[in-house]
Amino acid sequence: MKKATRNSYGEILEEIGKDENIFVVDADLSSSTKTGMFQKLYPERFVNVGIAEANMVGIASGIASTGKTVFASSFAIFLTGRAYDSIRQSVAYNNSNVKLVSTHAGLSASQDGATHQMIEDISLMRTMPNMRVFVPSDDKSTKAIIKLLVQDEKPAYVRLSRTETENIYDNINEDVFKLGSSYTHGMGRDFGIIACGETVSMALEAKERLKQEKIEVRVLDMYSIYPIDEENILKTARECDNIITIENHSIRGGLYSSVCEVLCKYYPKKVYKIGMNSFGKSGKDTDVFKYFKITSDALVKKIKDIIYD
Amino acid sequence: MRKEVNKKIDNQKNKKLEKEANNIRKRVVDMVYTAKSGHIGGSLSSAEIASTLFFHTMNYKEYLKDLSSHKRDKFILSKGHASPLIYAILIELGLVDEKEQHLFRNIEGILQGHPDKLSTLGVDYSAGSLGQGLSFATGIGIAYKYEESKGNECGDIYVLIGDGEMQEGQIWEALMAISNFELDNIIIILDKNNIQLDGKTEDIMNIDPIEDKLKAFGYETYNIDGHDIEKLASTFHKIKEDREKLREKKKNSKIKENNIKLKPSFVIANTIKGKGVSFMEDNIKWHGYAPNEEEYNKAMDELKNKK
Repeated sequence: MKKATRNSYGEILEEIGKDENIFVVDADLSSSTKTGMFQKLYPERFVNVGIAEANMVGIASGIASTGKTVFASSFAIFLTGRAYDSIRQSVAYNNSNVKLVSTHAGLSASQDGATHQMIEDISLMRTMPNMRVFVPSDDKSTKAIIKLLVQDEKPAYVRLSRTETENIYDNINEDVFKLGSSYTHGMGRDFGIIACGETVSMALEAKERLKQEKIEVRVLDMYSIYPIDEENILKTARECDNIITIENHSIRGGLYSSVCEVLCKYYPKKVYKIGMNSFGKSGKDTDVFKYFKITSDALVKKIKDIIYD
Repeated sequence: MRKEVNKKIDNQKNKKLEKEANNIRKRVVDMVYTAKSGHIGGSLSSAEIASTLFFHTMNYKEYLKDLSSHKRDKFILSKGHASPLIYAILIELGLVDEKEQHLFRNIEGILQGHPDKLSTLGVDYSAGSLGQGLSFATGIGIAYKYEESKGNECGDIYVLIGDGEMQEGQIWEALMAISNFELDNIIIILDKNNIQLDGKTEDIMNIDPIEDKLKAFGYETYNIDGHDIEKLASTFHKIKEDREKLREKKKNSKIKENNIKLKPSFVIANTIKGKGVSFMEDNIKWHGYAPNEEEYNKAMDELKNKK
């Protein structure tokens, strides 16, 4: 069963939307970000500002200042790129109860090409004071994170994708997901693969293939980038021979950097990395990920190269 | 369902508001001088606007003990660098301790260079990056319209913007939205002092003909002398009267496709940058420049001797 996390977002908004304290704002992308699903049910609490992302973020903050919980959405590039200053000043500095939820993360913007493929947003958002960053990997975890965030009144950034991914946690209780935590699949010691978002599905696929070649790996779903699960990263570093990160994001400033920061503090260890080192390109999403070698194939190959080196 | 509008002001009230404006000016000059930093010109140009709003038009004073009430009128200082203005008001109202006046922009004090709502009681928006406050105000307007549709009375939102600030694209995003969403609970005041950091606005990036532009954006416009308190008060009063009439008209109109749109208001307050201190008036130098001791003494003399 495959589903894109942006669709999970639309569904969970429909569910939590009956709370009259919740408002949703969008900037002419509601059918793509799926906030349109909330709009159909609760039009009086939905605001479409047209193609004006900076205004949208300011409006979100203003609505939140009256005591509401506000979800503000757009593509990752326009939300965190174009409206960066509004996020920083009007949301983070004002400590507003605005949950910024983006879709079309990184290469998942696929055919729209490089101008739409945002690969710096994790880096931008995690360095901002008062901002928390979450990158859920599947349907269940996305819904769990959103539901957790509604329980507090602080700013947060949630990065979602257009790529259809496996429903990894269908058989797992959503209580397992906590802000600041992570989820480990397996106990392999040859390699610890740390992933987030759609790369978690890729890592799990790689895990199965590597097992056939007697290479035992574990996969960390690092759905909480800031605050990050330092304990699990350290545990993984201690118990695994090697660590590799894989992200649909620049290799500078995102997941790789976050993991390195933790290890450098407590347990310096070499960390291998897979990610973007240039602007993206237009193509079908599977082709684009393949082109930039952010796939389970590339992960398997890299791990084997390192082990058999 | 809107509450009663203000009565017009008499001579006595006028004098009181002028005195307040003068008090504000004295505090502004004192604050910036002591800090050796701050935006004096653009704070002085809005003194009458602020005095009229806080001590007459808005119901702000009635909610000093209940600032979080939705019924309280909000004031968004979108031109956040005029922070000395709002701080002077908050000190006059007793929300901020007088001793903080000399700790403006000082690491030991609470009064930040640009208003910070988390550290200063009474500030409605942490401003600083021009063009954003109007979007924030738009959000409050939207939430308040929603609340009123549920039968909950809410205050009005007054936004003070600068003419240099109107060069920011985001201002126009917000202006379009406020008009399109018929947010007549937002009253925008433009402190049109014609000067920005690098020079005269007309030389840097002319915003005129501003009234034509605002009318085209769907605003009810008012073009007045921003230092005339009587005019400011009667304009704010007229805005509420006109608004009530239009609301009634829309409500009573039997045809759904009646094309009656509620209109937000925009007051173009023509002002003089640095107003109140003769050598600062209409002078480019005083955008963000602090007076030295001699200039400070001269300024305070003028303000203290004002009749």
